[in-house]
Amino acid sequence: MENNFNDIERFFNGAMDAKETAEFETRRANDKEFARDFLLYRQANEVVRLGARQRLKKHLDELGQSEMAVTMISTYGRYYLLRKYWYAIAATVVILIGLGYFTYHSIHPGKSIPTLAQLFDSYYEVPKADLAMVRGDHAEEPLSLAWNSAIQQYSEGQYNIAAEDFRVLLANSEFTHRSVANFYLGICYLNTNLPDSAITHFSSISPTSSLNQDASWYLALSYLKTNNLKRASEVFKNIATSKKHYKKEQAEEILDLLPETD
Amino acid sequence: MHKTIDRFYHENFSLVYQMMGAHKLIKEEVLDAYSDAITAFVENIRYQKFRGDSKCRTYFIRIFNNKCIDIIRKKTTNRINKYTISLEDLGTDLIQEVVDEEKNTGFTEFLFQLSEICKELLMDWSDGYSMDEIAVRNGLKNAHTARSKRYNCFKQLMTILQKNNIVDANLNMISDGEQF
Repeated sequence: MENNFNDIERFFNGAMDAKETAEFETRRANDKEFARDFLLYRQANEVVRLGARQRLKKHLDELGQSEMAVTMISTYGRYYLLRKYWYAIAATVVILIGLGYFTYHSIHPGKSIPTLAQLFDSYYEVPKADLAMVRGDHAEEPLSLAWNSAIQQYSEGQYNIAAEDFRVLLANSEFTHRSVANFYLGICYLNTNLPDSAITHFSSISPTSSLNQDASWYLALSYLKTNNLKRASEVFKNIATSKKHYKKEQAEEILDLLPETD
Repeated sequence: MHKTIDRFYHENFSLVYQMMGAHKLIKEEVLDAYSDAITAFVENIRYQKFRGDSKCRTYFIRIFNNKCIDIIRKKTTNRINKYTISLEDLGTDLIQEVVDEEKNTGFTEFLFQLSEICKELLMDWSDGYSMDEIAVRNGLKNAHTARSKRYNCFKQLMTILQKNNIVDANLNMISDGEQF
């Protein structure tokens, strides 16, 4: 086998000339042991080749894994991720837009819809009552004294005491300035946070009274205070459609700010 | 030599993505086909099966495409996408190679019965490294030592094959008239 090996290797390496090759083929055809060694060499060569091939394949597989890891951020990688995780990406975009919107409106607050209570606070003013004092010949009469006392308390902001005085006057059948008393008593109730009672008194003011326009305005504000949107809207609409009401413009402003009612 | 193969591998890696997109194949399958194709490409050049009728890259793409077709054929019996090359167009050579390959793969177990250094040295020799390179790669003294070691290792492998009657089986195939 020793000698055969060198000859076979020279044959496979292409180191033989034509004459040597011919002799080699003749010997291979006639010498069975030589033919076996030839096949053995050839088979061993093939085994080594296959082993080398497997080694190269393994090396390339490892190379591929690292290449894939590196190129995950390549264009295709981004495209692949986009396709695979588009739900998550879409959700993230929506959240970011939402956060952006929230942040923008926190920094730049726009027109917001006020509550009814906020509207009441914006438009409510306590009417003055100095001119309602009784002066002259009748000032010393008991009812006039009581009236002046009530107006005095009212002017000084003593609304509970004033309200008691107005109630006493209204209980007296001889008292004639009932619409004025009802009006100021309603104001006293609004200032003492009793809007329902205020509504009762504003509603009882005569339509022919000089305080009728004031009464309707404060009646509407009283409905705002009680959070009664429907009734408030009705009264403000009446004021807004009235040609000469002195609170016409304010009523229109408020109606623009009020939510729609059925 | 491995550096050249590695460079070729990296330079053409975009083909992996192209095949993934074109054939809707998963990453692992295409990577396997890609390394298979490179291995086959290297061997075909080494054993002069590549005749130079086309550009190297074109030749390689054809091999890679064939590997991908093999995967598709394994996965489905449905018609192959019209953009892929049919096996009829390729002839029977590649099919025969696959059959031979599968038959011979089992023989590598005999190689793994050798010592680590023998195994590596013989595979380096098969890969075409010079004896000087083999000596350096395997920590041997010089080319002469490497040549002597290669001889002994190869003899060991032949002995293992002989003990396992691998050659006798092949001899019988010749006696029966089959060309080996």
